[in-house]
Amino acid sequence: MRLRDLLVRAGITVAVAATLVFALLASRYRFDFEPTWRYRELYGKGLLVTLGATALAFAVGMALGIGVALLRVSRRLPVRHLGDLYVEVIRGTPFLVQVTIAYFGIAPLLRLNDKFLVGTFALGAFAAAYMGEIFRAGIESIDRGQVEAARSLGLSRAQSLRHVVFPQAFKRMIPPLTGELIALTKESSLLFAIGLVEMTAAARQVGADTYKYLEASLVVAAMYLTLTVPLSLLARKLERRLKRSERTGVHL
Amino acid sequence: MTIPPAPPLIALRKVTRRFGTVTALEEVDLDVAKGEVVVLIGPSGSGKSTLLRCVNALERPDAGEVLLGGERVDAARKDIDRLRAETGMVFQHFNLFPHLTAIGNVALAPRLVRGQGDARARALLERVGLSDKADVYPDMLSGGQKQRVAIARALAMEPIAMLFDEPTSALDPEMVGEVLAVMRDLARDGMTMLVASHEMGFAREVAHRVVFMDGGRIVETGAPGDVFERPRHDRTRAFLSKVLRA
Ligand SMILES: Nc1ncnc2c1ncn2[C@@H]1O[C@H](COP(=O)(O)OP(=O)(O)OP(=O)(O)O)[C@@H](O)[C@H]1O
Ligand SMILES: [Mg+2]
Repeated sequence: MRLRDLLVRAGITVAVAATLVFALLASRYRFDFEPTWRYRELYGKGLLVTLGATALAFAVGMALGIGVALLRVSRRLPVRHLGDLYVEVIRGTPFLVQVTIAYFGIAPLLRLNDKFLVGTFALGAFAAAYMGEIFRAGIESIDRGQVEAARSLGLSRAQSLRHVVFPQAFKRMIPPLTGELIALTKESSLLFAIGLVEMTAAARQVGADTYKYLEASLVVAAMYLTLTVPLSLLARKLERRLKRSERTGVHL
Repeated sequence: MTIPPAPPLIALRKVTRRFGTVTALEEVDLDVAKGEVVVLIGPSGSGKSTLLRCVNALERPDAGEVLLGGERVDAARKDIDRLRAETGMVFQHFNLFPHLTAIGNVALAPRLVRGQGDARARALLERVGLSDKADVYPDMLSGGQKQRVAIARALAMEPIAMLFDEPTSALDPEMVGEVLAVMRDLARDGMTMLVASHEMGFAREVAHRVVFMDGGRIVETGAPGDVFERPRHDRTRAFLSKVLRA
């Protein structure tokens, strides 16, 4: 069963790839990857920036996201509104605009001019709105009786969250959080708006320098897939395991 | 059975709790003495759960007060966590922690709150007849086993009183007996117990007192024999004729 799954999957991937290659060849375009190869160092630097920005933004998003979620499940109405406001503002504006405001508006106030730091924190603050929703949904999916049982035993509110709610909620949050990590990998490309040279910006520069836009983009597409496909396979595996342990999920 | 007069361990003084337009409890007065077993009966919605939850500060009365060992139960007090641990609560739907094993469920609170090890938790599992299930997760346990773990968990903080909210209503009939046996055993040991239950046999045999509630009020209270055999109120009679026939 597992082996057949794997074979089917590999077969479909190969078939689709072959079709694409055939289509490109049929277009009589003469591929030339040599100039792209000359810029491998720039790609390498871009890769490092993408990886660094994604990882740091994810960490910032986690920390801020937990804060946003706790605001939004608070018993106090003004506190809840504060959390709602944050999510509305972040989700209601494009990240490209946010990062520009952060770099040209907020960073000078804080006397920051490190593009990487400013861009990454902006990306993390952006991710926090979405991750906060993931955390909130996770926390709210836990039965009220769980907290009641914990409190009735004399656990404090914080202890109940930490030892009863979070461990159960976190398991359910792993698949959507992996999805968010994948999204961040791609969204980090928007940091070009403040002049940060990550993978996409590197590819654009290669294209502009060599006029080999297509090759430069194909290379960077392959690089993104190398990062995102394993993550998404991992997410699917974790989700399957979760479904098995919670006995949910149907195939339609 | 008679019990010597002593100051009440649990005391409700004119406790009122409303949910919107529904009055779940209306000026309820109730004393439970140390070592006493009181069984609450009454139709659905009569306020049994709300009463129990007020004793554990899971609900907050709109008026009146609840005293536990002379201390006022109030969710706003600083040491409410300590006071909550003084009562052990057993829920209709068990509310076991699914991410922890049986022993993990029982040992969690003593470990976090008092820094205690597992020894007592193991002894409690043995007491409810489940020492062989210590390392099993709740979803591998039967309903009766789950509720026995839940009772062991509620005992883990060495409460001065136990609160049971329909502990057998969610169980298949063949599992009711094993849970009642554990409760009977606790009562025999002198545990103070306040139990919402429709198990009339248990009430007759174990309870010192039966309290019949309806519409958020205590309608009548007395020794099980008296209440069951010679109910003084029509509402009690009507309720009993329904549940005893079933
Ligand atoms: N959280 C709540 N919000 C709104 N209404 C509530 C809430 N809890 C209880 N009530 C209402 O208060 C009344 C008393 O409920 P309670 O659960 O105490 O009754 P009960 O005697 O335990 O009934 P049952 O036998 O069905 O468990 C009911 O009318 C119920 O609908
Ligand atoms: Mg109830």
